[in-house]
Amino acid sequence: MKLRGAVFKVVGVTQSVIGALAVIFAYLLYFDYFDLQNLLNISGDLPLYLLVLLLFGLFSIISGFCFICEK
Amino acid sequence: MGESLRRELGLFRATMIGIGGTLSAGNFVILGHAASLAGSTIVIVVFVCGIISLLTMFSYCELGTVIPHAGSEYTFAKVAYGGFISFLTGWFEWLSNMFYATLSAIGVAYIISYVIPINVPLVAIFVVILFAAVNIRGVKEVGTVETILTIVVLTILGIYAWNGWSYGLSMEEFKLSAPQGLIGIFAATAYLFELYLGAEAVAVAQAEIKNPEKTIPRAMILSSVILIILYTTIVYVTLKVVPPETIAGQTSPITFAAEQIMGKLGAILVTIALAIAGLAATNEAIMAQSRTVYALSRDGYFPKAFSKIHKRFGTPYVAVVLCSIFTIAFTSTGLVNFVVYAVNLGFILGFSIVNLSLIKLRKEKPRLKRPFKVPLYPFTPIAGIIISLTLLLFIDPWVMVLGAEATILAYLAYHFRMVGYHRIRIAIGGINLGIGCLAALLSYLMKTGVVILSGIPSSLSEMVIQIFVLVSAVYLLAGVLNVTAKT
Repeated sequence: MKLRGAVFKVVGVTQSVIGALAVIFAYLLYFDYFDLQNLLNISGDLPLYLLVLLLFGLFSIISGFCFICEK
Repeated sequence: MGESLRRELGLFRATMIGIGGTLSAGNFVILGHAASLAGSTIVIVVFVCGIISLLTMFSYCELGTVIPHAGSEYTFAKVAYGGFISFLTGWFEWLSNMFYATLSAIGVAYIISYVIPINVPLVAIFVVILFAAVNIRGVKEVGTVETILTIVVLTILGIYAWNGWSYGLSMEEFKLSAPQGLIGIFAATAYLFELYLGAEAVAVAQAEIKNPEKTIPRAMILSSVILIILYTTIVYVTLKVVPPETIAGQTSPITFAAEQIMGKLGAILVTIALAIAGLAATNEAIMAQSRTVYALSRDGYFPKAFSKIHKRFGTPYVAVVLCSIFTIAFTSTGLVNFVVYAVNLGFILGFSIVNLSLIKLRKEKPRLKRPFKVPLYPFTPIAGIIISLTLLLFIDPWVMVLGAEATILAYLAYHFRMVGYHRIRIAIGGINLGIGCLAALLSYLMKTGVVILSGIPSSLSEMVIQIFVLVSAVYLLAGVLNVTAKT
């Protein structure tokens, strides 16, 4: 049971971190820090990328929290 | 939580809570944009906003004295409606308090930036983190300090108004102008609606107020009237000294005007006053939103983890951390106008629900003991609802889109709770497996050259593939664990 709990925690934290990074990346992309839009060759499709990143990020954080809070 | 608190607050201190809860640095920063919308007519706009707010304050007074231990829109809606309406009210109360904390923190940074060159978003984030720590630690006996600080702020603003009254244009020379006409005036009213938010803090603190049945209505109405006089006077004095078109370009219009009236010392004095007000408002908004999340979690709408209490400090630390993360995210953007409209949207809906709750309780529970009754019922709450909702027409369309999305999200969250935790886990597991499979497929297609990332260097492309492999592994594992999780 301890191993199961540890796996849940590790997966939860990893998912939450990935989710948070996706949200931060969306933020950096929106404000074009480090000239990211040019670097990644993104022009007209920016809103779509932001939507996907934010949805993915928020879902990952929620899913991660479910694992972290698992008893 | 409040039952054990001692009733120590009299009329004076309760009134100071109402005033202190309303005065925020953000309120003085946004006057610039309002002046660009309505010109010198913002003097009247500020007065009208106060009257609109007062209409709903009467409802707060009645509900605050009728429902024991209630104080927020969420509790009123819970008693009057329950179910999805109360959840939606709590949801918007949380969001609007989050945006209010954001606005207050950004306001403090803008006010300070007038006298010291600073990075506004960075300082605002620091303010949020500082008060998140304060709220996790929990501060007792702050009531007296807050009263003193409110008196200090009022005194400095009083000095500003006194000195400015005889400065600049005379009353005869002062002319009302509205560069964008009636539309601009309505837009400014919708924009400045949040000026008077916070006076309802008196109802929230009702567990500590002596003789609450009489003191709460008196304190709320008194604080609203004082604020109407204060804001209208300050805006009038400011416009007498500085024309609206000059104010529109200022990061801190009041500080700019204070510098014209009282020199550098005046600017510093007003900066100190507004910074104090802003810091106190940030603290209160972080506390208010964390308590709303705590209440929603306690009532089973949010995960139980959000209502965890810190063993040592006795504070809902998970809720504070969660709320602060969202606040920091919005604070980092430094966007003032968007945040102001978001605050207004939440509170307009909140005000409407408070008025609707009052009407419903009057109809369904007419025999409830009502120490205070809304004057001119039902016209007062109905007027409060109609006028508030009319202002929605003038709110930034993007904020309205955000509001619609927030409502859909609230609807989903509410029904997720109704279908049971195990079924949610299976659904989350399914989505995880889907994302995992998609990421695995994309990484395979990119690796084999079927899908090529055009215009991206090959080293970066390789890194993207590795990220997709990692994501697919984590999400496939998460999917399996979720689907096989015990009931």
